[in-house]
Amino acid sequence: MARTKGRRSVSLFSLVAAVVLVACGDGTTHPDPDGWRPALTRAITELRRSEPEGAVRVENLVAEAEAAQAAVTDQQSAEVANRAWSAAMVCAADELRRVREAGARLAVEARLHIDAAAREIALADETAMAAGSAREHARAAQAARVQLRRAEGLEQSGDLEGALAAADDAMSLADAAQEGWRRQQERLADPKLRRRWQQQVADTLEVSRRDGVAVVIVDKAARRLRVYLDGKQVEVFKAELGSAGLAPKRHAGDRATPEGRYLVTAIKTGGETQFYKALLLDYPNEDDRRRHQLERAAGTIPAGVGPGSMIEIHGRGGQQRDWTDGCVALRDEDMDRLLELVPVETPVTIVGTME
Amino acid sequence: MMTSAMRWTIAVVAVAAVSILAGCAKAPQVEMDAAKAALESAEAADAATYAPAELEAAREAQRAAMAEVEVQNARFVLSRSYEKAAAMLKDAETAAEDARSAAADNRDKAMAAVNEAVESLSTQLAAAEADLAALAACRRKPKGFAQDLELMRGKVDALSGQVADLEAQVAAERYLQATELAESIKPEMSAVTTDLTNARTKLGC
Repeated sequence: MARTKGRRSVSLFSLVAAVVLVACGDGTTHPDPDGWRPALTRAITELRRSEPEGAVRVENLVAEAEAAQAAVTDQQSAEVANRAWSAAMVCAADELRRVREAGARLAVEARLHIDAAAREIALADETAMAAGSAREHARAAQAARVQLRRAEGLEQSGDLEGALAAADDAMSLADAAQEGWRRQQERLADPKLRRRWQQQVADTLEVSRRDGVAVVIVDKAARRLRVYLDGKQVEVFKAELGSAGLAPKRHAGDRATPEGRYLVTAIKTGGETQFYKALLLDYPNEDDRRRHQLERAAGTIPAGVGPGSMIEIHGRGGQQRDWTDGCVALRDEDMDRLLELVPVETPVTIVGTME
Repeated sequence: MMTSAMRWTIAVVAVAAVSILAGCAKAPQVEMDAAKAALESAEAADAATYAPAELEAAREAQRAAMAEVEVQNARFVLSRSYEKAAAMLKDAETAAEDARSAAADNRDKAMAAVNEAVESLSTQLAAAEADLAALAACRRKPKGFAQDLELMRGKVDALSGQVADLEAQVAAERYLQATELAESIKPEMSAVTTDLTNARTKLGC
């Protein structure tokens, strides 16, 4: 009887022991993903920064692998877990490769846009003098420069999308800074204006041929003053215009050089002029007055502002820029030569372009 | 009739069963709630902007802790142990608190730095405008002066607009974006104010 009771105790003890053993561990061989988890964690962290959807795909596969890992009880389930870990690793590697390739492309694109913006700003600065709207131009160009610095700063800090956006802003502003210059170029290309200028030049040269007199033709776009005698060019000088560049003169104070046919009405030397020597022109002529009246009536010029006056060809040039209040400036030595050739009442024709 | 041996065996089994069942821990709900609350607090403190690395570390710690919870949840009920998960959740909570603290510090620093930048740029702008006025009133006006003055006015106009944009960013509490804009404006402002000072010196205005 005692021996039977002892056998039952051992059986119960074994059951308890078995239960305890189950609670503490089942003794099956597990696959060991410890080498994979840190790499997958790093991959997910990197993906979250730039490709969050890719990070989610990898996370889902990792969750499946962890679940498979937790369910390992035998060799077959261990194989399932291994395959799940492999799938997660392959997915992470693919996602990272795509992100890195996209990042490399974005870096190249950002740099290209930054360089292009820098070129546009430089071009805007070159065309500043011809724009005729110095303040507006300078404002846009300055804003473009700040955006360009932003783009370069963002590129350095690794925010490539931000750098691209800032570079595009800089380019837009530089483009706006060139708007005045582009309008001038469009005006110079206007066929109707070109025909008018060509006719004016032809008529002036005809006067020179017919009457055997000297005439002057100023080509604003080329910044050249040409002297003709008997219809043939005898001199050409570099010229500097009003600081409004190629804009046509519309009213007093606009700092534009007028276009039209004029005559020299006076020659000034010595103390008569602060610009070394000067030839005074009869601006405004009838055409100028008529145009001015029309604009006044249309309200396109300020009220109470006249057409302007005191337009001259004078010295003190050689500034390499358009700087006068509307006059045509030559170097002093060129003024000396000019005065040898042209007397009072010399016809002077100023055109947008002779092309 | 129950013998003493039977009673002893039943008692041992009962004790063992109770011990085992007691060892089958419940999921660490208190620690999970605390870690989640700490992370939400860090996110509310804009740690994503001001302490992104610390926030990501906190998120990662919480993910790892919850993964461990899931691992245990997937185990046979009598073999679960949440001790490791509870410790990981505690670490995650600490990491989130660190992220919140770092975010607050960094935000304060960014705010102080950008306010200082705004003040400095505003002072320089006022000086530039005064220089422009002095140049406009200058008796000595060399050739091309009018155009040069217009160019400088345009530049100061642009910088004035950009300082206004900067102030708007600060008012909207976008301190990092404001810092980045301030750093872009500073060298341009310096160049323009230097040009104006040099012009005044040259003309004796």
